[in-house]
Amino acid sequence: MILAIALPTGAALAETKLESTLEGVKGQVENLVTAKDEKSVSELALRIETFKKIIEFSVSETKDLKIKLLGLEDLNEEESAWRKTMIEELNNALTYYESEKSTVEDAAEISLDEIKTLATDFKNWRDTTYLPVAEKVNELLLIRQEENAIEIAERRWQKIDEDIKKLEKAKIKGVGELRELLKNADGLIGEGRELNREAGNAFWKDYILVTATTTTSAPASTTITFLPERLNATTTTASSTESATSTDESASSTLSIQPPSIKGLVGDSLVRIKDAYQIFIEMSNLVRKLLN
Amino acid sequence: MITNEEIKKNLGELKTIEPDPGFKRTSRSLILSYKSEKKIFFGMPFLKVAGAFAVLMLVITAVAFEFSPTPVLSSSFNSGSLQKEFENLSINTGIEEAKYRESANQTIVSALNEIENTNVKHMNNSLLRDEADGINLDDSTNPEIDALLETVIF
Repeated sequence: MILAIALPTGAALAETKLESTLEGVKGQVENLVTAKDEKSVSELALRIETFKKIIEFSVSETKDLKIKLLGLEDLNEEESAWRKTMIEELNNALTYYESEKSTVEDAAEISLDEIKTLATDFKNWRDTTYLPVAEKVNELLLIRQEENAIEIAERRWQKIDEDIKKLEKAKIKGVGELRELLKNADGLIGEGRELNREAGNAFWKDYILVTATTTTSAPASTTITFLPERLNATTTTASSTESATSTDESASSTLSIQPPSIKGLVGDSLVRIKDAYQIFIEMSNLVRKLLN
Repeated sequence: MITNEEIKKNLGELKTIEPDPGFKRTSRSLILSYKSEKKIFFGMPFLKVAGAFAVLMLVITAVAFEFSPTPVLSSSFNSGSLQKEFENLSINTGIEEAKYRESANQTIVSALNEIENTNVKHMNNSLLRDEADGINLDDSTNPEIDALLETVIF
């Protein structure tokens, strides 16, 4: 029987604080909707309370992201500079939240129009300032996590390879099929690595180089020299990769080929790793048959 | 018949007899050059047998291990462990968190809309979604993330 690989149901969403503050927002919204339905006099107060809960959640969310960003290891010089910029952005966000919190807490009275304006401004600020930063940080986290997954899969491949060598030495019948499956898994892991490298390349070009050029005011034509060797490899395989490589060439042309998103590339890479593990599982079942 | 006197005389003569000096030297050097072949342990017969048996067992074990039809394999061929290893990859948690963040963002947007809005009632996005979740509808908020998740679930 081939076991199906699925996501862990109890994924480690250990951000208890984050979850509880989000639940607080949901509860407050429910109260506000009910108050609106009932045309309650507390409607304004509930709008203000909902806004406070949103700020509370936003602070938790930002701190959580900051901790994750600070936890990243093995960053090179440019990546460290980029991280520093992102940390500054997140600190600015926290300052903004404090300011908004003071506005609603310190004011003697807030009118309906004022709280509505605060909400509108907050939404616009979140869309244009916070979310782009959060998106970048989260993309880097995904690339790093996928890199780690690939390394684990490669180590597993090596161990299986050693076992197959033992079986070959013992002249077990049917080992050839195992060797063939292992070769397929090797191909998939290789493709996964390549796709994640593409994601790393895209991240480097879209974010790190931009930060480097912004902070150093280097001319655009020289920025490519920042591209590290490990991210500058020639790409192969997967269909989504092909469109990614063509993007550079067609940047100045009129062709509008949509480049694969970083998340898409990481996702494609993960699919390859998942498929490799599926082959490993298939092999384990086959070994059991061969040895019985 | 030999008398006592004669015996005493003969013994007196024999008393002075000595070996040939050449024979004496050769014999002495031969005796001194002789080394004992006696061994501490394997000199004893039963230990010789035990030692031979041990060597034989060692050879048999080595041969059996080398040509065993079922070699000792690592735990890499345990399907349960392999499945767990994949599930424990941090990227899976990362994808879950990405989905959670998308959902949280929708909730925040919806809550801000509710604060801004004075006209629409019973149309709160977040509340409707929560109710939809309650009746097992798809809570899709971001097609890209959902597509990613679908790819890792068989």
